[in-house]
Amino acid sequence: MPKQPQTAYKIPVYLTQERRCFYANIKVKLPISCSESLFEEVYGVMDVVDRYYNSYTRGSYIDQINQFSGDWVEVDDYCIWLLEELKQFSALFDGVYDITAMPLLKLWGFYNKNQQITPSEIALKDVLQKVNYNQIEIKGNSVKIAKGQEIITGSFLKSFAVDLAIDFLRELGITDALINAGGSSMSVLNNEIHPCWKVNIPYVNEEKEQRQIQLANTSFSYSAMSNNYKLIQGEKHSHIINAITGNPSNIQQVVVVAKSCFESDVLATALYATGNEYENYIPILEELNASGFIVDANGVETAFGNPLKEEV
Amino acid sequence: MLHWLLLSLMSRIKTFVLYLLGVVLLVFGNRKIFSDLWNTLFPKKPIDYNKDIEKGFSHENIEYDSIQGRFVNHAEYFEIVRYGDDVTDVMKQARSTTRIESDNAETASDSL
Repeated sequence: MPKQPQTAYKIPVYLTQERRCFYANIKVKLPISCSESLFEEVYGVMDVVDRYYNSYTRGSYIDQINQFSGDWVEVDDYCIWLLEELKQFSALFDGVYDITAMPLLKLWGFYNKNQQITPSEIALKDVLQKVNYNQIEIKGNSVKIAKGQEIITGSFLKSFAVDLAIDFLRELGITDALINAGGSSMSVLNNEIHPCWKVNIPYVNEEKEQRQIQLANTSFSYSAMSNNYKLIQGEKHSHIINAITGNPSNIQQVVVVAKSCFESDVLATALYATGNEYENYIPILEELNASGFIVDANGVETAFGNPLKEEV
Repeated sequence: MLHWLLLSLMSRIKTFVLYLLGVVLLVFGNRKIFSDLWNTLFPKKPIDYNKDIEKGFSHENIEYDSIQGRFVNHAEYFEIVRYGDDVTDVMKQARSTTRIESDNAETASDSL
């Protein structure tokens, strides 16, 4: 009997570690040729961001700004850059996206499991006075927010850390790697041997199968209501709140692919926050060369930017 | 008689010439003898060629700690200095298990 021709498949293999950081599981995949000690360096880069800029880390720059609201606080250049960028994004989205939205999240009970009522109109009106990115004042390396204001870093910080870690890997000459921050933000490096990474995106309609997109040397962010929401009297309320109306957004899903993880994360959160008015803001994302899609409250999907490469 | 005297004189001259030749060969046959003699009489200070190179290095003394059973370096050298009083959670996980994975698809999920 003649021998059957054999086919050899070259499967890329990676060293993988997963650690808890920024209240999420951060997964790092490095080529198998890398030293295991490189994980220390990569997580070390993200750890510095966590220590210095996370609003939940006691003593961080953002924590100090929050603690001393109404007074000037000296911060470093990275912090200034972050705040200036975020103010610009807030302006692009007419204040719907606002990093001073922490009082709103507290009002809706995202930090109080026992709260089972929706906030009253009066309470909303009162809290909304504290939510205004224009009240973040920057002078040189000093920052001041208005008394009672509070900045929350959840919508951008882990992505910023992912960007720094990816830059670090790129500088080392690594051309194939992935950093997945809790499934909501990812950044990938690719080369000609391994031209793309694949990401499964759950369908909001459970009857359909999940879809799979391809990413190559880019960043991805995902916002949805499947895991993080507040259940009040049987109704789900998203943790992403429109900072102008003070109400949680009813969007079901947003996917954004952009050049940096920081940008894709901020854009995904901002577009999600716009709620029913999302169509007015899609041109902004397209102008920033971002791609992706949004699924609104009625399940209508709208794509924007360059079509995402989907796995068949 | 004169013949005998001449022979005796020639023999002495021959002995002297041979002795002189021996001395000349002894002295001039070993060329290093003068430089060795000179160096013995006037010794030079040894040149330390590493003198300038060693300035670029720091020296640390490592001592054996018999209680802990390990070598201890009291000098501060290249150490990762961490700010703050404690180590954050992510670095406590330094002994995280490293797995081998293929390029299997990641799954998107909403997280805070």
